[in-house]
Amino acid sequence: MEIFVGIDDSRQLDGYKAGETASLLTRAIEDKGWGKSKIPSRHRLYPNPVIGYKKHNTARSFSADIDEQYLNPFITYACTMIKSNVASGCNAGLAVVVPERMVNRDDLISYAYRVKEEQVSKEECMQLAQCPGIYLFELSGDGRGVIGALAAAGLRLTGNDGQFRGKLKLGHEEYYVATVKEIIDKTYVQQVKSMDLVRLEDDETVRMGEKVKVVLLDNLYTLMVFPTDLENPKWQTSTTHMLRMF
Amino acid sequence: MWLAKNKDEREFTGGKTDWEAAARIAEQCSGFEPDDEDEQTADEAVSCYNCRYRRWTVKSFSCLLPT
Repeated sequence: MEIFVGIDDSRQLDGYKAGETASLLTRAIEDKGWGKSKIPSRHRLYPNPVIGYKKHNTARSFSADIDEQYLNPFITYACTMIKSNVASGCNAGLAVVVPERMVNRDDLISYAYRVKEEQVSKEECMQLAQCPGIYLFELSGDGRGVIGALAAAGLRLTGNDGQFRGKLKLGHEEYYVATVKEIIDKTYVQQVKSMDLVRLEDDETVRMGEKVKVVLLDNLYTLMVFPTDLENPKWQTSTTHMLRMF
Repeated sequence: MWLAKNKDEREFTGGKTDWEAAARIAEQCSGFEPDDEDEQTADEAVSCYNCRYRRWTVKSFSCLLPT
């Protein structure tokens, strides 16, 4: 069955990083033979003024296909790993969402978009967690990390939010020009879209920028591009500024 | 470009998209240290928006570099 996992962590300067933990958890699922994981994504949330010096206003998530019998072992493993990694001062939370057990996904999606745009209380989050198919765990501090963790899982569920960790590399030369087909064949990108959300054809050409990020759109690993105003290459990979909406 | 919020915290008055000013300030700052790559939001490598000492606020960010 498909699961969506959200992790939110820390208010500290250094140390425990949810991004690394998400990567470790995806690897554990595969190494232990529990199932197959997708690449973790980073979701931007509203900076909660109550939390104060929170380092990032982001949370992580990933989805995975696991055999039902491994859901509880996975949750136990994830809770143990996060608890053992957090430093004092963290308010770590974990959310695991099982869509096939949910009655109404819209409530979760609506909650997730709200956490992206405004301050949402922990009480509201805990109330939503009463719904079937949603499992929340307060793992350190006051547990407020569950707010972002659940939002991250919900945003991943939309299939239209989040950036993937790391920079995409293709070709050895600076500003390498690739066709869309080459990008799809040689990287994990599944589609290339313009900022107007038009899907590019296989033979169109793209200049690869210095810092190429992949985003989640249409439930696919997506490379966003914008026009160069040249005939060839016609497109260039979108800048970090342009991808803020993700 | 800064609004003092208390003795340990000052908020950038340029909001979240004044890329030029944030890069200019960071270039002149001896305390700039890059944040985790995944958390960087500016295209300019050296920018307050990409610094490990910035903390996002509702309107902008605060600089927590020890003074």
